[in-house]
Amino acid sequence: MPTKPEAPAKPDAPGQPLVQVRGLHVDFALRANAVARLIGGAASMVHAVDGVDLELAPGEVLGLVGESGSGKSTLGRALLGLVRPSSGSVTYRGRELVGLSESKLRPLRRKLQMVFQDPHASLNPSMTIGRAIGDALRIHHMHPGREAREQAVRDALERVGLAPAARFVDKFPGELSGGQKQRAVIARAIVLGPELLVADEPISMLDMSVRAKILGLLDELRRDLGLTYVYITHDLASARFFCDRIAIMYLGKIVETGPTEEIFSAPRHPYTKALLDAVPDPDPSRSIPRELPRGEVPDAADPPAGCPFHPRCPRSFAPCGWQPRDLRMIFEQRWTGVDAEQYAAEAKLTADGAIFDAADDTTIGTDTTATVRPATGGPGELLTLLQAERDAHPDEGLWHGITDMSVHEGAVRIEFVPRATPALLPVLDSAVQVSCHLYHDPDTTPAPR
Amino acid sequence: MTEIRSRSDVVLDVQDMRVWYSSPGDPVRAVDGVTFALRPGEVLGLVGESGCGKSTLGRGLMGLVPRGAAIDGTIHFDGQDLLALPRKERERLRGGGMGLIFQEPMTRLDPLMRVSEHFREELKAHEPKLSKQEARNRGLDALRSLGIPPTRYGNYPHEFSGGMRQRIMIALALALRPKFIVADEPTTALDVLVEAQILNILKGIRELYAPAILLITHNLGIVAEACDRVAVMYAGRIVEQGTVRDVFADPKHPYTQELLRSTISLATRELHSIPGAPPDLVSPPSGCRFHPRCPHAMQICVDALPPTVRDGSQQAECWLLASGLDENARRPLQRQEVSVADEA
Repeated sequence: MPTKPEAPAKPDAPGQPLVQVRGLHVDFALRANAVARLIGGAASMVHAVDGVDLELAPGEVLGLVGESGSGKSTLGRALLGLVRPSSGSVTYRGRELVGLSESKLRPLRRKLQMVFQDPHASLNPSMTIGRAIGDALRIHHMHPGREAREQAVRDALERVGLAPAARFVDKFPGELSGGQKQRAVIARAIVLGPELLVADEPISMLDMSVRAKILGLLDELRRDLGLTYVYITHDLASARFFCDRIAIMYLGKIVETGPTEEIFSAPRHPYTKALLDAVPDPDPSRSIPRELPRGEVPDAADPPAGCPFHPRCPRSFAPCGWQPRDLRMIFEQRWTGVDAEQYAAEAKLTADGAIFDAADDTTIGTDTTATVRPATGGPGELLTLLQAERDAHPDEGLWHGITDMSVHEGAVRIEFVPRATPALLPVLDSAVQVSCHLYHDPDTTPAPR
Repeated sequence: MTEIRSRSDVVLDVQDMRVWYSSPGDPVRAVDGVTFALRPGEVLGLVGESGCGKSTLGRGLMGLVPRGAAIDGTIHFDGQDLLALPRKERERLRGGGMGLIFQEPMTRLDPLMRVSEHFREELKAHEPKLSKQEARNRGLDALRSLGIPPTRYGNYPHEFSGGMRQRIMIALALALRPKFIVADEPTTALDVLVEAQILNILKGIRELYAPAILLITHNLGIVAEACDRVAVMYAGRIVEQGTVRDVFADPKHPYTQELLRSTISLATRELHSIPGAPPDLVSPPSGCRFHPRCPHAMQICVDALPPTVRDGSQQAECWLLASGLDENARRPLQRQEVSVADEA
């Protein structure tokens, strides 16, 4: 058994969460180039974590699931104080972590440990396994004395299945297989007797047949050591097996959260549904869905208005946050299906779609009016083109989000439905929270920030 | 397999192919006696763990093996024996006749060249008679069929997301209208939704271009959803092949059975894993290479290479399927305890 932690800081109050997160924001500044850095100027910001609330009960496994760029890893790191949040709060057993100095955080890190994705990169290649694990103990002044420390290291190695420990303590990471390395990384985390383990894609770099072994080990440690996990993954299959609760993230926000079984048996958010449909399943009677969200995760530095998923969403409708630039996406889609001649004419009129990005976009309150000027030709031609595309695809969500298109002073004026940003709210008669206008009337959800 | 070779509807016919690498000691037998065939427009999934030789097999077909490696056996492509061709002629087939799609779209496009220049360079090398306008149209058509609008033709690779770059890679391969494509883990670096989009595209292009595809992957889910047939590779050999439907419904080889059981899918309620680790290919186990890990290993499995046994669309290389073995040969093998520490 690994080191037994001395008595817990204070006895658990009933129902007290181990970790509580409130209104957490993590922003990264982007400065385009050296000149911009010198003259300062307004740096654009990436809202990696954009207002997240969550709670972790002792002993539970929470899965943070999302695609790359969803902010799941940043959120995991923020829980351990590895990145500095811009605002919001993270408490561990009632103690605020946000704003703590490194020297105050360090003693807490013993209780809050992390397992990284790439076992090859998270072990120092010139340090033996024994030393890598022993160092963690030295830094935290645990088990003083060489004898005691070495014993603790051996216990940890055997606990994670690297037995007999004597065979592994003097090995270098390069001499171990991928699975063995990940076991060593886990040993280094548990040797400190943590309460919370943030595991960031711990099995995704491993071979299929090894994944089950490492996931099994994590599950075993949870039972034997009473660990609480945050399991960060893009793999829904392993999340379903391992997690008690799931939070689905998209562009820095939790879009759906609830008990694992409910999320998988009755996914509500169109994004969750799409993710579930897209998981390749070793069942040949199933096939890939033809209806997939179009495009990819947009640039987090310039996220879509309203619901961040709206441009890709197969079920989007009027209030989802349509804006002029979505027209460009619609036309780029159109141009993959027309012949060269037609494309050339339409591209000339719209400057390859650039006129939609450049549209004068006046927003008064939540009402948006965009003025789109044709690159060549008259506004009548442009209006005809827009109407033709609308008539070709009347079911497209975007057209529901446009109330009127008219020629006005040499341009086309487009009026959009007022935007509303969906909020994460409970769904009636369920333990699930979802952030989607399909489930909550946009008129009653709060206006966008 | 001889009867298949004589049939004109086979694009690729591979017989007893071997690729051995030199190493400081004995050679590494990365691919060691592999036989399979591909029909036009067919997608064959080649699946196995890392180090089983599946990428080496894919590259060996293209003739892309490092110096010091040897290829043996016969590879008939479009009626020609590739290994008997002079090097020059073989190189001419690469790209035009046989295409390759790599795993990492991020690093396979030249960051200093526009997408249009990638197409121009490629078409100039392979089809020098094509006019500029024809080359442009060919490139635009290929991109359009993969859902990339012509507005992006002049962009640089960094202006595209990972999924778009993989589409460009596929478009580049398709622009030469190859009859056969090796796709080596084409979706491994991509997110799940983008992966599904790319798999849909691979299905979709068959209607337009109809190349035969060898899809190399470690993901059985991808095989189930995107392939017609599957070949399961273990330690340098194909141990089982057949239609996806038959192999997944009733896997004959114990390795296929174990691999399917240990895959974590949405239906997984209990974890299962294969004990031990794949063998060292310098000195693979005698007889059946899977015998040290096989739950049903018998005495004969250690002594001799198992025969290939056919059953409908399926064929598997396993002694359990052989008939007429005596009592002694069928004696269960005493398995050594495999400790966790010896696992991969």
